[in-house]
Amino acid sequence: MEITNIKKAVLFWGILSEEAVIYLKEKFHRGFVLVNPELRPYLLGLGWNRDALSAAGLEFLYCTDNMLGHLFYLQKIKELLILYQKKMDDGYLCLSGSLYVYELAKYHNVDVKFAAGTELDLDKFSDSDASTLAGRPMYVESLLGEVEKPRLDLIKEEGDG
Amino acid sequence: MFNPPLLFPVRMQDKKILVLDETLLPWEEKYLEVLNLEDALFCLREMKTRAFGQVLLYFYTCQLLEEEYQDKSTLADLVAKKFKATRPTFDFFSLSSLLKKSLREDKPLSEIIATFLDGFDKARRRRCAALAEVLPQQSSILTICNINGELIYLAEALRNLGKEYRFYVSETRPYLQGARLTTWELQRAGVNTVLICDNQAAKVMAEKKVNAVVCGADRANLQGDIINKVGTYALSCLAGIYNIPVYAFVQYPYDFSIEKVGIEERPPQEVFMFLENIPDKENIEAIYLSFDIVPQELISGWVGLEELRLNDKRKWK
Repeated sequence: MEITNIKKAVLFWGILSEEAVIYLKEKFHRGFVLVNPELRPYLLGLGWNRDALSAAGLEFLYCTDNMLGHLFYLQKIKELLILYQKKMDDGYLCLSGSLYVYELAKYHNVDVKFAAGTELDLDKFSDSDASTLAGRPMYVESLLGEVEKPRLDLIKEEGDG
Repeated sequence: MFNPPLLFPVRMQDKKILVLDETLLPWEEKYLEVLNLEDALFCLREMKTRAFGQVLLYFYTCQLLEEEYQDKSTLADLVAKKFKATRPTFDFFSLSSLLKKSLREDKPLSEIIATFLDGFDKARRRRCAALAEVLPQQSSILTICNINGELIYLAEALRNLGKEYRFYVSETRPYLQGARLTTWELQRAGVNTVLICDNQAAKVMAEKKVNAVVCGADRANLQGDIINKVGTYALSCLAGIYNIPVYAFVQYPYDFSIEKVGIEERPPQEVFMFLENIPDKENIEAIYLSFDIVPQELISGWVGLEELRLNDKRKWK
């Protein structure tokens, strides 16, 4: 799909749940492109989320996380759905990277919704940080330096989820 | 200090061009031989080199073909046209203009190009020294993609000023230039790095782990808008939100409308580079945007080859 063919899109971030898929299905049938980001380091966009969408017969558009900024810039994304891991008293505990898309959505005046995602044991994923991709080391031994471990992001914002 | 290969990733040797195959880094340092225009276009098309490497490749391709063309201006334009057709986001015609301005009948292209590149490298060192002056005493710099060795010059300049520094490196999917190239070259030079996933940028900013963003620019216009590796726009927006300055290395800005530049969309399947193990990926609908646009109001300073220009209209949020 070329970018000019995207008229309106909904971006989701987190681990899809059955309820979220139902929600996205309704959006899909209303003509929204479902943007399924990669979700580094776990690559859930190519794993869990891809499987969930495919099982529901939903087409989606995959991209890497760093391409989302340009999609916001072009005003292609009309809504962001964040699938949190845990509801807290002061906000939502969400998958790593949620703050990235949340801030970008707010900056571009894009509507943000929160909903419960599926809870997975993230420790079981082969990629636990940026140094590997699909289990393959992206570095030369002794020339890696430090690697920032991803953790859950706390988003202190009232949502309507 | 060793000679960082990415400072000059394309070199001329006898009658052939040697191109460092950046797709194989950091695991293998291999140079491809370029013997003609088609070889050069292959390297461009297959992303064997990029950024400053494609500038070098342009000049050396002209040098390589010099004997075949009586009129050097025609040669400069022809190579620019072919290169531009292969990598549309980069403005190779600005390079042909530069080259044509320097042409002298009594001088071979090799001499003209060597003089130009020597001056360019000295300018790179000077501008890193200028940027180091404005960076904090304890600099924690977030960077994206790869700026062809200039961060090593920047680290040297910071060290000369007695400033402390470390670099947070955004991995830069899908080609992972940050993880594969920048981390590798900085670590080889003994510079402290912290590698992050691209989507961790907001988190490290919110936690005040970085206090500056430094990026390159594939193109820049006179107003200060830039086009750079995809992900730079998001970093610049986030930096504005968290009150962090953004400095962009620019070269040869010229007058053009940023909105009229076609952002290169690479073949979607290339987005799966290094993901050979993902099943059935040819059936995934994907998009691959190579670059994005950063409007001038999101940039705090342009680090040019001639001067460092600060932006007093930087937009903060």
